[in-house]
Parts: sequence; structure tokens; C-alpha cells
Amino acid sequence: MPDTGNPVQKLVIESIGIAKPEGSAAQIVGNQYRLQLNQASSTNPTIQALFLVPGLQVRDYGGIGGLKAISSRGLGAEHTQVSLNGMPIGGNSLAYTDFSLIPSALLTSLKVNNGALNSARAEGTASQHTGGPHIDLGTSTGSVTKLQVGLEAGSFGWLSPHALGRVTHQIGSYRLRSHLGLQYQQAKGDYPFSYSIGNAILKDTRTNSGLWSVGLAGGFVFDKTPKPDSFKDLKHPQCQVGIDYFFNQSMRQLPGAVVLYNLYSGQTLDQTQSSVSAFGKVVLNQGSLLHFRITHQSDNTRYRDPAYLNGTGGMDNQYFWNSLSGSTIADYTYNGLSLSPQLDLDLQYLGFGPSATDSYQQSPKRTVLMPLLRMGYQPRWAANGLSLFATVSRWVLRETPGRSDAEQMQQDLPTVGSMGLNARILDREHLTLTFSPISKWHNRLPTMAELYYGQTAMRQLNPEKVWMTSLTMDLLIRCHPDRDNYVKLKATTFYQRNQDKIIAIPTRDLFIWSIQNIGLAEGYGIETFAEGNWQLDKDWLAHLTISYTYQQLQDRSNPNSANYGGQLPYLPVATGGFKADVGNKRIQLSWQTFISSYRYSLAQNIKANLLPGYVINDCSLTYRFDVGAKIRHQDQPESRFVASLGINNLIDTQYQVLQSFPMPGRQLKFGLVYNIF
Amino acid sequence: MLLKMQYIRLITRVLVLPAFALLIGCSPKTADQSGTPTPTNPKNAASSDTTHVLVVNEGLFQRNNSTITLITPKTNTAVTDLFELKTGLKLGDTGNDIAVYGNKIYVVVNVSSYVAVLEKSTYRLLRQVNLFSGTIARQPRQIAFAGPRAFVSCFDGNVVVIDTNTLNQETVLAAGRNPEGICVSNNYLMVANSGGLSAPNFDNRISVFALPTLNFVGNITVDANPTTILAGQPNEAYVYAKADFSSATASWTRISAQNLSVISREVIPSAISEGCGDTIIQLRTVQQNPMIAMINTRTGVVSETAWPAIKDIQSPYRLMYNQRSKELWISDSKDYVTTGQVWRFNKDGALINKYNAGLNPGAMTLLP
Repeated sequence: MPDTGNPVQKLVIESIGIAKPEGSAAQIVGNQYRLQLNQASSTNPTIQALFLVPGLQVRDYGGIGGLKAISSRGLGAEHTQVSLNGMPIGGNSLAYTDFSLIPSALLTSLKVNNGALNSARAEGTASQHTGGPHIDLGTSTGSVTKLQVGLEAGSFGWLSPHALGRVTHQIGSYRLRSHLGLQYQQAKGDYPFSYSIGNAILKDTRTNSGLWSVGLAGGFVFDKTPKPDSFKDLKHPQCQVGIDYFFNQSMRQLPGAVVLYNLYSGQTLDQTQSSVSAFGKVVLNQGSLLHFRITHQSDNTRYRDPAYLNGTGGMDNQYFWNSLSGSTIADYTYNGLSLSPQLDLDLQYLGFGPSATDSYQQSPKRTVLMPLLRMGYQPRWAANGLSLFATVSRWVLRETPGRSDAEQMQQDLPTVGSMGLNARILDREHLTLTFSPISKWHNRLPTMAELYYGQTAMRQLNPEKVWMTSLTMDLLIRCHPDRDNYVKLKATTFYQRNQDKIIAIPTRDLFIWSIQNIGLAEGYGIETFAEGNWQLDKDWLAHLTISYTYQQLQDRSNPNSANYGGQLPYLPVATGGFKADVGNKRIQLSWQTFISSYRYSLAQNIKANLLPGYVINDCSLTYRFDVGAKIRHQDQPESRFVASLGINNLIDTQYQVLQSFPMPGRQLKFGLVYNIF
Repeated sequence: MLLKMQYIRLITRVLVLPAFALLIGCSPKTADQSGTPTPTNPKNAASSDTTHVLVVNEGLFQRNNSTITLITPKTNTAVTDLFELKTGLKLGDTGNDIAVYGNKIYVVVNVSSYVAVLEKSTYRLLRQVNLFSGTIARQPRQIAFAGPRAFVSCFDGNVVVIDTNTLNQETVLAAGRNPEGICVSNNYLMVANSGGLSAPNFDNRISVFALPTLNFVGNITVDANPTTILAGQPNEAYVYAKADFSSATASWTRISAQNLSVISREVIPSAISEGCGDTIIQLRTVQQNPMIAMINTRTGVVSETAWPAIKDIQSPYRLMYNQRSKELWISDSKDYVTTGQVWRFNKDGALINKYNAGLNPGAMTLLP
């Protein structure tokens, strides 16, 4: 999303109402949220915003550089797909994205869609692992030339400079837009904590969660369209081609679990991840569009702990993962009816390094062909108040070295799809009410790690199968005819059934943990989100978001088990919070509170496995000012300097998201951004 | 990704290898404390007048949820988390072994890296013997006794010698890679070095030390990944080794410490095994029928008896055999992530009772 110049960063409901085809047939509307990020902030808004998106959970292993994975509605993080400007990123043999390595200072927007089948989308390739939420991160891809540098520093040895720029070259009637951002992140990682274990309270300083990483994101877009983001007004065929790329190099000392009487040491994780993507879009006329994207992703991971037990238990494991994926989409819309066939192909290869001491058993290769058909209908008689959509897909899978029952996984891949509608049942001047029932069925293929990694692997895994049905109600109340004052309410109830859930348990034989398809998880929930925007006067804006999620997702595998009917591990029954922002063009004050209820660390819901709830408060103050000449962008005025001061975990709450991994306490951050032009 | 890595670490470091603790023999572990080494097998002498059974529940890796269950057969009662009840403290992470020696109870806690020493009569905590090399945890695994000494095998390649009177660490003996099983047979201390943390690059040596001098005598080479060692005839021992985790077979090797030699080797089914006195107990499955095999280490006689009642146990995990009463105790780990039970059978294989225990009930010992 291009910068808007809006001074206040805010988490908003992305869309209310009816899908607009805009040349892309059957564009699917679900539960979509967007975070506007206009400037670098010192309070890590990327992750913090995700806390407030209903239904999402952030699994955090503690430490500044600890892994942070996003999951939804009790599904594994493998169901969450992450893209950068539409390009898949973060892929690896484990098939989920670590948000601690995202260069957040480069981001200008963040969108979360937790609605219909995500493989049915006009950007990026279909994912063989998802069906859960799709998170699209946006960097500075606008058309206005810009160059910015910034520095962030704070407690726990936090240091993060960044630079980003974008430039547009006009070549006759064509133009080439390019953008590039670079961010370095470093955290020494020491932080004190106190940790209650029974009657004992451990007080210590964690010394093993250091991080350094370099993230780079950029791209080129070449087109001849004066307004390339607005295809709907085109009368002649237009085209657009471009390249996106993302690179991240990191080295981390992973946080070790806090073990009673022994601070267990962490391990070193070195990672090099890259994605490069070429894409193109051809608009033949207002109702017809062709779209393609080819992406190569690689992940080189080395996981080391050579000094463990004085070297007698050391490990050094290195693997390489590569993926080449392609997606071609054609859209055709006529008289309100749209058809959109899509063909995706994904090739994956996994190898391991010569130093590996606990290596993958094989060097597997996987090919997945994912044809998809999307259909949409927006009847004219409904005056744009109704749209219906459906998607259907059937995957073809080939894998070598294969498995003993090579055909089984293919046979266990049912046809997937989604269907739903958006209906505006109230459409008045000050009031809009929309209902969006959605039902979707999707698969999650076993990851390479689950199938092939060492003793844990299980070659006979079936895909996870998820059925989810939800009903979303959107209410928009416009409070003032002139000012941008409004209240939006979004409420979603869902029912979900997850069969053949893939988890690691010690049942392959008596001695060895292994990956298994385990029974059934089932449940329901309600996700609510309220957003209020008040234009207090000509300059001042206030924005408030409140979210609350209640979910009961339970193990329904074995009625004779002590776990039957228990809430899934690490899934809080209730989460919620609020974020309040007040600001004008100079100053912005933000406050965010996040609350999590108790959770259980294991499937058996007994007191011994209970993890207490917690409350986290963050606040920040941002001030924009000019020294010397002001920046005079034609449509996007910006200040020369942006200074920010933030405090994460203001009241120094001692808590754990995952058992034995205490989170950092209060953290002070300071940031300064300089917009050169 | 870390999630998976943690699983992998958990598997390779704590669950796979400690799971071989299932195969650790030498229980029940009761003996008289005296100043000289006892003649045969001090850990294995079963008591005839058992009043209690102690169970150390391993818990799960990095959860700090290991506990001790106290079972009183006479009243058919079980107290879970005896340690916290009596000391007000948590036991720690991954308890691997428990033994009664003299008037003390020794609990070996692997990941927390210490030995908790309790007073036998009151369960009062006498000493927390922390086992570290500088700041690096030794990760103790199992314990054996001779005279006024306790010998603790540690994953870091050493055996820590503890004075059972003062509870001070006397010295550290260098063994092989990842010592696990440990036993005393007359004049020798023998340590099974599994090398399991470097799987599949296992160790295959038994380190032999003379008693009471603690001088290193030499190594005996056996099959790869020896995890369990039981005292047999004087100065002899039996070693259980299973090189491949998923193999259906393993081996018992009879060794002589005096000659540093292998006397005999037998391929056996891979199964849960425990030693008790001069008997090795194995829970075998023959044509889907559970059998209890008893191997007399003195005569070599093997007897196999069908125990159909064992079919009702979801996940048999550890065994304990009371030689005097002929009762067999089997711990049930259920699905390994829910609290387990301990089943008590009479000599005919009939269930006497079952008791609720903690998470992954592991090593058991009789408490006279």
C-alpha cells in the first residue's frame, strides 16, 4: 500500500461490503484487516498489530530474537501463508514464517485475510500448506521518489539502522519504478526475568538470545499505465511486469528453555532465506485479465550446538531447501458473472549439508500441481448489494523418493474449495450492514521436515484436512456527514473441524517421538473487532480499536483419553485488547493493551499444565518535525524528521507465552527517521 | 521452525535416549549401607517387607514437571508429587532414576542436573547435589552404590563419585561418550557408554573401574549403543544394547570385568527390560500376546509366561519385579503427554491394583 500521509498509524478493518471485481473475477472478501504504517516506529507495530487481529495467536519463544510464528484458530503455523508485496516469503522445509526476521522498519502496510480459501487470490502462488490466514506485508512501493534512513536503539542491546528508497524513471510513455530497503537488526539479548515454578521463583538474566540479521526487500515495476493500480477505467489492453525480491541473513543464539536449577543453553541458528519473483499482469479489457508470477525461494539453515555437554552431545545440522513455483491466472467477467481459472505448480527440493549430524534421511523432491477454478456472480438486480463466489481445486502430487504407499497421500488429497456470499442487507446513508457466510475445505500437506527429518519423520502421513464455516457481520456507522468519523464493528462466529492433525508425539514406538496424524480437533469461536475513528478537529484525529476473541477448540480424538474434550495446548480461551491512538500531523500518542487468558501447556487440562494469563501494555510517542527545508511531495507531504519513543511491556509483566520460555520485561526504544527527500 | 527443532532436540537428547532408561535395570534399588562393597548386587536386593513404592515421574523435557509418586500397597493409596509436598519445592526437569541406599533416597534429575537426597524416614531434603562442570550441566543419568559411595553416570562423559555420608562430591571419573547404565559387581564399577547423543554414531564401550581404588581398568567392546548394564556373577555383568532405535532385535552381552572380555552374546527381541537381583525381566510381545520373559543371569535359563492382562496397559514404560513377593509392577505412560498409572500384578499375572501417578512414570524402587 502506498503511503497515505495520514499521520496516525492504525489497525483498521480493510473492507466492508461487497467484493468489487475490478477486472479480477470473484475477488474474495473475508475477514480482512490492515495496518497502516506510515513511518518507522519504535514499538514493533508489525507483531503488535497481529496480537489485536481476532483469531490470531503469536507463538513466541521469548527473547528479542526468539522465533515468532503466527497461527490461527488452533491450527498450526503451517497453515499461515505470508507474502511480501504478493510474493511468497519465509518458506522452508518447515513451511512457516518466522516473524522475528521480518525487517519491520521497511514495511508500510500489513494485511491479514482470514476468510475464504487463500489459494484463490490474484496475487502470488497458491500454497500447498495453507487455508488459514494469509498475511501480506507491504513495503514502500509508491510512485513518489523517496529516500529515508533511520535508526532504532533500545534496551537489551537493541540496535537497528535502516535505509529505504524508491525512484521512478519516466521513459517516454513507459515508466520504471524501483524500490529498495535494507534493515539491520541486532540484539544482545540479555534480559532479567523472574519465573515462578511451583513455590519457587527463579530470578535470573537470560544471556542466550542474541540476534543479528540483515533484511533486504526491493523490486521493479515496469509499465505504461498512467494509473497502474486502477485497471477498471482502462479502455485498451495494458500490461505491467515486475520483479520482487527479498533476502534475509541471520544468526541467532536461540533462547533456551529455563530449566529449574539449570539455565539450559540455547543453540545457534544460522539462516539465509531468499525469495525472488517475476510477475506480470495484462489487462485485455475491463473484464479480462491475465496474471502470472514465478517465484524462487531458498532457505539455507544451519542449526548448531557443538559445545553441548562439553561436546559429547554436540550437533551440527545443515540443510538446503529450494522451491520454484509458478502461478497463472486468467480472469473473465461478463454481465456480473466472472470465471477465473488458475494453474499453480510448485517444485520443491531438500538437501542436507556435509556437516549434518542429524540429517534428513533423504533428499526429497516434491511436485504439486494445483489447478483452481474461481467463480463469482454479482447480480445487477441486487445493485451491487450481493455477490456470490465459489472455488474448487484438486491437487496432483508427486514426490520422490516417495513412500511405501506412494499413492496413498495422493488419494488422501480430497478436492478442496470454498463457497460463500456477501450480502449487504442494510445500506443507508449512515449505516451499512453486511453478512458474509463462508465455508471452506482445505488441505495442509505434510512438510518436508515432517516426512523426512531424522528419527522423527513419518513417511506415511496424510494431509491435514480442515473444514471451517463462518459467518461474519460487518456494521459501519458513519457518525458525521463531513468529518471522517465512523464506527465499524466486525463479528465472526466460526465452527472448525480439523482431521488428521499433524503433531509430534511419542507413539511410533515406545521410545521415539514421531510425527503422527492424530484424530480430530473440533470447536467454535467468536471473533469481534470494533474500530472508531474521530476527527476531533481540523488537525487532530483519534482512533480506537478493540478486539476480543473467544474460542473453544478441543481434542475430540479418543473418548477414552484423559485429553478428550480438553482445550488444545497453548490456545487461550479468550484474548483481547485495545489500541488507542491520538495525533495530528506533528505528534502521535499510542497505547496498546493485550490480554490473554490462561492456557494449558499440554492437552490434558489439569492444574499442573496450567499457564496463567497475562496483560501486556505498550505505549509510544511519535513526533514529526522539520529542520531546514520541508519536503514537498505533491500528494504525500512528509516531515523531514520523525522521532519516536516507545516502551514495550510498560509495567514489566513477567510472563510466558510458551512454558519455560520467559518473555522480556520492560523495553525502552528510541527511533529517529530522516527523510532525505 | 524452532518448534520442530525443539522436538528434534527433545527426541535426540531427552526422549530417545532417556527413553532407553526403560531398559535400565537394577531395580528395585535397596541395600544396606556399609563401609565395604556388598558381595553381589546392592541395587537389586529386593525387600520382603516393602511398605512403599517410589516412582519418579519423568515429566516432559523442559517443562520442569518431574514428580515423585509414593504408593502404599497396604492401603492402596498413592500420593502424587511427594517431593513438592514434603519440601515445598519442585523436583525439576526429567527425573531419570531413583534409589534407596542406607537411610537415604537418591533421586537423579537429568536436565536439572542434580541429585536430590532425601531422608528415608521423613522425606526431608538433605542435600541438593548439583552436578556441573563449571557452568555446564553434567546431566546425571543413573546411580549405583558401593560402600560409602554413590556413583552417578552423567551424559557429559563422566561418573561423579559422591560420599554417601557427607554427600560431598569425592571425585569425577572419565568414562566414554554419554554414560547411561551403571552397576557394581564385586570389585568393579562398570559403566555403559551409549554415545546416544551422537546417534547414529554410537559408542560401544563398557568402562571398567576397580573398587575401591577407582582406578580405570579398561574398556570392553560390546554392541553399539549399550544403555543398560546389570551385575551378574561376581565381577561379571550383562549389557543390553540396541544399535538401531527402530530395530526389532537387541542383544544381551555377558562380560567379565576381571578379564575385560566378552563371555557370550545373545540376540533377543527388542523389548522393555529391567534387572532385578539375578533376574532380567522382559516384556515381550509374541504374536500380539504380551509375555513376561525372565532370564536368570546365573543359570541362563529363560522362562516365558503369557500375561494377557498387560494388554490393557496403554503404553507399558518401566518394570519392577519384587523377587520376594513375585509381584510385577508396570508403569503406564498412556500417550506420554497425559498423567500415567502404575499397575501391580501378582505372580500369576492377575491385576492387584493400579495407582495414579504423574507424567511418564519411570524408574521405580521399593521402599522398605
